[in-house]
Amino acid sequence: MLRSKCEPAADSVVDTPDSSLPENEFAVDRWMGVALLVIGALMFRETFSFRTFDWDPLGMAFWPRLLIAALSIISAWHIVVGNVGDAMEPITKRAITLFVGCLAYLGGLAYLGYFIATPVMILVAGLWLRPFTARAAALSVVNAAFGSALVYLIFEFGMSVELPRGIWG
Amino acid sequence: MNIFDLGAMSTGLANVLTFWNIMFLIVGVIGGLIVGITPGLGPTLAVALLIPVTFGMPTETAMSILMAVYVGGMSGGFLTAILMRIPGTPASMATVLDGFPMAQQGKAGQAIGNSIVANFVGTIISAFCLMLCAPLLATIAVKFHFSEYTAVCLFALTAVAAVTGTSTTRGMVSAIIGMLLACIGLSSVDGLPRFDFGNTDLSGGISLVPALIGLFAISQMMKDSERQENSKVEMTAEVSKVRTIPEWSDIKGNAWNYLRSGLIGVWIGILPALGGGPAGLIAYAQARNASKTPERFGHGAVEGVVASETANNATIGGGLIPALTLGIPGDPTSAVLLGGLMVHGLQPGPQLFRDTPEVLYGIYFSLFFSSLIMAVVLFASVRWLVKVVEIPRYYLQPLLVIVCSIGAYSLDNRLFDIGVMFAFGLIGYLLERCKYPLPPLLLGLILGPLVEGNLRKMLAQDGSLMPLVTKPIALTFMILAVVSIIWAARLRRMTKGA
Repeated sequence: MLRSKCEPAADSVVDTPDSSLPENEFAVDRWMGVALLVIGALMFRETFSFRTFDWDPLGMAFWPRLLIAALSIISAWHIVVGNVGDAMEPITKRAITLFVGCLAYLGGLAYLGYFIATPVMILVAGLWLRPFTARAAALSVVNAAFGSALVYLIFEFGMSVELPRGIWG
Repeated sequence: MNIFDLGAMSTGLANVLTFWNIMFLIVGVIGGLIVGITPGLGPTLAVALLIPVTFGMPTETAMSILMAVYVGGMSGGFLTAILMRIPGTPASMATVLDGFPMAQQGKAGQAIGNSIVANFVGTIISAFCLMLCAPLLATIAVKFHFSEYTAVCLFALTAVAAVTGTSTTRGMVSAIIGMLLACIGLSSVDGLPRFDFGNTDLSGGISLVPALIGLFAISQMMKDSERQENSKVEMTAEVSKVRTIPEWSDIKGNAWNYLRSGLIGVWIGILPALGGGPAGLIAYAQARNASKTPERFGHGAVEGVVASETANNATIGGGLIPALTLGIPGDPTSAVLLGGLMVHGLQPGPQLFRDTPEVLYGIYFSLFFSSLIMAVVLFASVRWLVKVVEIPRYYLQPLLVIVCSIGAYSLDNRLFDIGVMFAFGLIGYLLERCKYPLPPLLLGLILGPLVEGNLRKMLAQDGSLMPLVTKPIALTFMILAVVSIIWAARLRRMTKGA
C-alpha cells in the first residue's frame, strides 16, 4: 500500500458495509482488524504476567482485558464486513522517509548530541524538501545554523534545559 | 464551594494584568495568529508545541499564554479563507462561502474587518458563558461519585467516537486504542506496572505531552511532507491597499447575528468533538434562515462571514466548560490544554474550583484580554501577518520537528519521550491515512485511567454495574451515550441519502 503519489479519497460517508467498493480496493478495515486482533492477542497474553492479589478479585488485568475484548469484537466485525467507511488514502514514501529521518535524528541526538545532530537534520531536511540549487543549499545552511542556535538559546538559557551532549559528554 | 469567589477573581485579574503576563499574551496571540493563518497548522498543534515551553513558568502565566495561542490560532484562519479560498483552520471553512466572493467583488477589507470584530465578539460571548456556567456546573459535579464519573466519561467517549470520522466503529476502535495505550506503565489504581515488557522507561508510562505532540504535530508534518512546494501563493486582493475598519452599520445590523451565532458556538463547543468547523456551518445556516435576503448568501453576504467567525471563536469558551468542570474536553485543543494543566500538577474537575480558583479566573480573564489583543493586533498588522503564508515550508518544517523534539525532551530530560513522540506521530499518520479519527484516541488516552479508576472503585463498592442505571445522573449520561450513537448513525444515513 506504499505509493509515491497522493490520491484523493472517495467521498462516500457510510457506516454500513460498502457494497460499492471496487474489487481491487484495499479493504482497510479488514487488514486493520487482523492487525488489531494480533496485537490484542499479544496484549491479552501479557495480562497473565500482571501481579494479582487475593483481596482484589478484579485485579489490574480486568480493565485491559475488557478493552481487548471490545476491540476484538469490533475487529472481528470489520474483518467480516471489509470496509465500513471512506477508502484509505495511500501512505507515501515521502512521509515514511520523514519518519525515518526523525528516527535518525533521535539516534543522532543520543550518540552525537544536539550540536551536531540538529544542524545536520535541519540542513538535510531543508534540502530534501525542495529542489536542489546552489542558492537553496546556501539558504539551508543559514537556516540550519540560525535555527539550531535559536532553539539552543530558548531551551538551554531560557528554560535551563541541558540539551543532549551525546557520547562527547 | 463559593460559586463566584470575588477574592479569587481579583487575584486572577491581578495575575493576568502583570506587565510580563501581558507581554506573554501579546506574543502568544501573535504566535497563534501566525499558526492560524498558515494553512495546515492549527490551534491544537500550536498549543501542543507550546506546552513544553511553559513547563518552567508559573501556572497562571503558562495558562495565559496557552489561552492566547488558542485564541490567536482559532482567529487567524479567516484571512486565507477570504483571500485565497483556503481556510487556515477547519474552523473557518464556512467563512469561505461568503468571504471569498466578497474578496472577488473588491470587498476584502469589509470581509476582513467584520471577521475581526466577529472573532472578538464570539470570544467575549464564550468567555462570559464560561465564567457563568463553569462554576455552576462545578457545584453539580461535586456531587458526582464513581458511577456518575464512569457514566459521564463513557458518554464523552461514545459521543466523540460516534461523531468524528466517517464511521462509528472506527471511532470506537480509535478510542479503545487510546485507552489501551493509557494502560501502559503504572496502573493508577494499583500503583504497579503493566505492559512494560521489561523496559524500565515503559514502566514509567507514556507521558501525555509527547503523545499529544506526536499525534497532532508530527503526523501533520508527515502529511505536509507529501506535497512539493513549488506553487506560488495567489491572493484575490492586496491587503495593504484595503481599508479593514468595518462600517458601524455592518456591526449594528449584525447585532442579533453576533448573539445568535455566539450562543450556537458556545453550545456546539460544549458538545464533545464537534468544534469550530460545524459550529461555523450551523451558525451560517441559521443566519441564512433568519435573513430577509437569503439568496445573497454564497454570493458575498457579510452576515455569512460574521455568523461563521463569531460561532467558531465562541466554541473556545464552550469547549472549556466541560473540560474545566469535569475534566472532559469538548474538542482536541481543549484536550491539549488539559494536558497543559496536568503538566503543572493541576487535575481538571470540580476540585480545581475549590483548590485553585485564582488559576481558573486567570484563564477566564486571559480569554477576555487575548480576544482584545487579537482584535488590536489584527487591525494594526493584518497586512504584514498575511505575508506568513509566503514563508516556504522547507524552512519551517525542519525547525518545527526540532522544536517538537526538544520540547518533548525538556519535560523530563529523557530521549525516550522523543521516541514516544515519533511513535505517536507514526500512529497518528497511519490512522488518519486509514480514515480512523484521532480525537477519540486522544480522549481515550486522557479518560482511560479515569474510567478504569472509577469503574473499578464502583464495582468494588457496589459489586455490580447497576449504579450506572439506578442513579439519576449516571442514568442520564448513559442514555445520552446511547442517543449520541443512534443520532450519529441517523445523521450518517441522512448524509448518505442526500
